[in-house]
Amino acid sequence: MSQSSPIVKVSKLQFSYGKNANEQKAADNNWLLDIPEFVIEAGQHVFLRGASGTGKSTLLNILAGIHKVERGQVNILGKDIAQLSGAKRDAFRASHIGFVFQQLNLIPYLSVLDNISLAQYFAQNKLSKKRLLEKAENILSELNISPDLLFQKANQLSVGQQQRVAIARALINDPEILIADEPTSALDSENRDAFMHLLFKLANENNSTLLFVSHDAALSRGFHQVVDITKINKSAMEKHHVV
Amino acid sequence: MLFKVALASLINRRLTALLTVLAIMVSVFVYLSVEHIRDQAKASFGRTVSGVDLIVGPRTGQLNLLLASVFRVGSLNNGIDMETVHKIADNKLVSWWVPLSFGDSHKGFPLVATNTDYFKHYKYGDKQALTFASGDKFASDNQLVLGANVAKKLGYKLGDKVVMSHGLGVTSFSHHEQYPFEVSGILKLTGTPVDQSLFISLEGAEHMHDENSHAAHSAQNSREHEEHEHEHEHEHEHEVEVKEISAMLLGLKAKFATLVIQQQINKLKEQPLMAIIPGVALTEMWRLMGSMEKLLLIISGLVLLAALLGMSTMLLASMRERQREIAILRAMGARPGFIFTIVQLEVLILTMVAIFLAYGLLMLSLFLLKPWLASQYGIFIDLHLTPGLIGQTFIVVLSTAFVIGLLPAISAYRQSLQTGLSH
Repeated sequence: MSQSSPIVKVSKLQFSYGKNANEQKAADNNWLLDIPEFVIEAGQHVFLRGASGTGKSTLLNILAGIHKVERGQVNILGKDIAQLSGAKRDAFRASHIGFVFQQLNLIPYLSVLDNISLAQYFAQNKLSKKRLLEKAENILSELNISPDLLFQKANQLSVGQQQRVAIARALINDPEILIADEPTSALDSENRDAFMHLLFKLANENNSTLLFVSHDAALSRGFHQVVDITKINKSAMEKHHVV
Repeated sequence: MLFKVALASLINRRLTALLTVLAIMVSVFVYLSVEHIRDQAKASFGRTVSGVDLIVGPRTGQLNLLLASVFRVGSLNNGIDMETVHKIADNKLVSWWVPLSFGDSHKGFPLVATNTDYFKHYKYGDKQALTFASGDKFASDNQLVLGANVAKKLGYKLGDKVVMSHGLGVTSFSHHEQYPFEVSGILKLTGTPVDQSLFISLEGAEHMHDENSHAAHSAQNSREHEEHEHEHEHEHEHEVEVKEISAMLLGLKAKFATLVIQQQINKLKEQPLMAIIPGVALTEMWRLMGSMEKLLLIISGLVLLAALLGMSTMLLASMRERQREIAILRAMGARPGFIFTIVQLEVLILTMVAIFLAYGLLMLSLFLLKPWLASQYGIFIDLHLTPGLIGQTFIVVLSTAFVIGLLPAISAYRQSLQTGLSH
């Protein structure tokens, strides 16, 4: 990791919810997030640790471009997404960031293939139907999921299968950044280990930077870097946060 | 992709979606039926009488006279004396006239006493004359002409003997059994009240009534009996004399004379009479029915609104359970506009399916009801909906659905902006 360069660089970020909140919060200096600096180098596997209420989810939403940032910079892949319009942030997210959530990652009434295709639909560089199917089958076979399941409805799969399909869905657009938010909390220990193994393997193969978020420090094994949110978020540090 | 997601989402909620579609279908069906039947009624209404310049009858309401003389609905209390009839008919501006007498019926079908000029001068539709499907007009007092539906419904053929009854009801106790009529002709279908009528001569009607009063009087006490006996014998030996008729149709030599003649008749000193212009009376009648038809339209509009509000409620309620879905879509990079569009697409799919089903249902019910309506009421319903009505339905229903669909769509849009990616 010697010639690594920052893929995520957050600086002087101050954030709170609500429209008129900014002036108010600025006066009180009472932010939900107050992050002077947070950097992730390319190709790193980062474990972001923190209890609930420390601003983890909010930070993820900001990195993903869901929430508009008024103060500070959020540089992702060299682009300050704080300067982008909502639509551009959405398009940016579609093409460059893959997500895996705790559970219920998939649209239940769509087939596995349609769930994966939908992620493709929003991305900028689109694949042909045939290429998409091949690629989906490849990723799924690496995840030990039979191609037969491609045409099954998502809600007919087991939770473990669904979480693995979620990885496939997240990686279909070859995103530079893969964000996993408590992805193993719905899994039993056996499935959890297998899931972590696959997540690392595919992130490596894909050269994706991995940002793994959890409150469970036991999972931090094998990560290049472990970051405690209370260390980077001044608000959490001072325990002034009000949700 | 959008369409696929919207459709799959609806299929996922198939039961509520189906109920919503059914509710909208029923409302669109009501709307289409009201509009179509109104179009049809208006068209067939204007067809009933044409080429008649004035209708003359005893002084009553304009509509009453029109209903009685053209639609054979209701009755006229008084008649016109033959003297007065001739006075009117002798006017130099009158080109033709047809006498009409009502009051009798046969198995629920009205009996019209007139003369053979009726078949010559009565016009319907676009000045079409009456034509015979078989036989010809009555040549003698005991002959009878049938409207197309009467012949079909009662199964009468040429040469059949028919016995009349008195009064306009279906069941009548005083049968004119002594004076049967022979069917001399059957008219072709016109789509007007003519199809429901039977025609006899004025003299035939007099004969019929004489027999009736004869039979009735014979049961009375002898003193009266003797007095009347003389009269009856007199009448039986000689030609009957028509003393009055119910109404008359007038054709004028010049259109401009219509108002003048109308005024003259209205001011006649001999008898209180009135003359109406069929077109004017029809318009007034349509206007009266028009307010009812507007009421129907308003009701069908409200039914439609209720169904669409139901759809909106269904979609709004579904938004709660779809919060997760929205978050997933957003995480994949869907814009809030995508979410909005999905919801509106669902509205569009539900509404379109409902419109097509309603159209199918209307076609089916018209197809099944058509023969019955034609034979029972002489109403001819065209199966073909006008393109204007179809277009209007699409525009009205879809635009209302869109506006009402804004509620859940905007709610979904806002939700997608507020909800973060996490649980």
